[in-house]
Amino acid sequence: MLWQNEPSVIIGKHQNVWAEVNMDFVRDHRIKVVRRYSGGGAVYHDAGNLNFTFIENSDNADFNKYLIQIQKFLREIGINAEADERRGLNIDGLKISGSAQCIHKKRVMYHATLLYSTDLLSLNAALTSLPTQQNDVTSPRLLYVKSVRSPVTNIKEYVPDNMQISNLKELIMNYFLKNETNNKIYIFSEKDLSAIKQLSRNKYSTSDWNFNASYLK
Amino acid sequence: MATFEIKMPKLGESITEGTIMTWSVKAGDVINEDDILFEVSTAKVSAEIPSPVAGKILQILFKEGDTVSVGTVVAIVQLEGDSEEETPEVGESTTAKEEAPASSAEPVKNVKSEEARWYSPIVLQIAQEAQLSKEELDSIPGTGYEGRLSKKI
Repeated sequence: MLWQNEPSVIIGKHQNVWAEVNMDFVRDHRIKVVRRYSGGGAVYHDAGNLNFTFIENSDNADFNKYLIQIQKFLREIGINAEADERRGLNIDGLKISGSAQCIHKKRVMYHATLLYSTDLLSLNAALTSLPTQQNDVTSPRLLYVKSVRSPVTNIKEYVPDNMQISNLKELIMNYFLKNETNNKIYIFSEKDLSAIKQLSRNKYSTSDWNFNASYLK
Repeated sequence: MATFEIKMPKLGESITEGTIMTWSVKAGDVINEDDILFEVSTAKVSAEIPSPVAGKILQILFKEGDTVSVGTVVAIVQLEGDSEEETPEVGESTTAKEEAPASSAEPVKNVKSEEARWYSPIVLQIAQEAQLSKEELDSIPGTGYEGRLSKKI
């Protein structure tokens, strides 16, 4: 899946929102905060960022293969990105892509972001929690995954001036349709959309899921 | 009484341990096959672990927040029914609790881990060149970390 979000901060499943997000900044800039289903740290999304999601059945998840596919695609458009041990991709030591994974029974999912022309000032501001917030935490849990901060850059700096994010999306779709012959374009049915909306209403848009880490109990 | 050991699974290549975030069951609970038992987290992966068997939870050996090596027994299930035939092929079933670490913080290292064993790319390459089947490879005792197969003899 290739998808985008309006300006938002997406935190990992086991993160403490107060420790990761500048709550004043996101409120003032109407940036949504959403907890995702996969692990890892907090990321910033906007219309300049693209998100990949790979979902497969597997008994023995090999998450690196997704990382390698994205890396190969980037090489095809002339970008030499290096993978790091956290399954991120970097150009000259600056991060352009982060990833997170989850396993539900036999189902495995791999998420990745790709910064094309994201507002990096907003990204850094939104993902810098205020020290005073830490005091506000009335934590029901002690276990949290802490984000690992990385300096970032946009791919736009490394491609020809006339390339737009819409061109990049097209190139990605073509690449994955060409290289994975089983892949086909799929349009959500009415039934799919209704299930998605219901899940959003009952879980992902609730403050219990997004803010209170008590959701697991 | 037949029991089944629930072990910390391997959450993808190169992962050697995971932190138990939450238990969905407690000792005494009756569970069905495929019921979620616990949730594990590593730095990047979040995983809900289902039970491979049906039965009753006898013992939970680690608490929430404990970080446990892959292959370590984390819970013991009393299998449904008495028949030995119900023992699943995958995993090890024992009639005695031999290595229950109780509240010990020291994770139990398993010499040989069951299910899909992890092979390094170099080992897979050597095996392919030697035209060894997956079964033949699985039958070779490992000498590396946590009983993994090493290219060294």
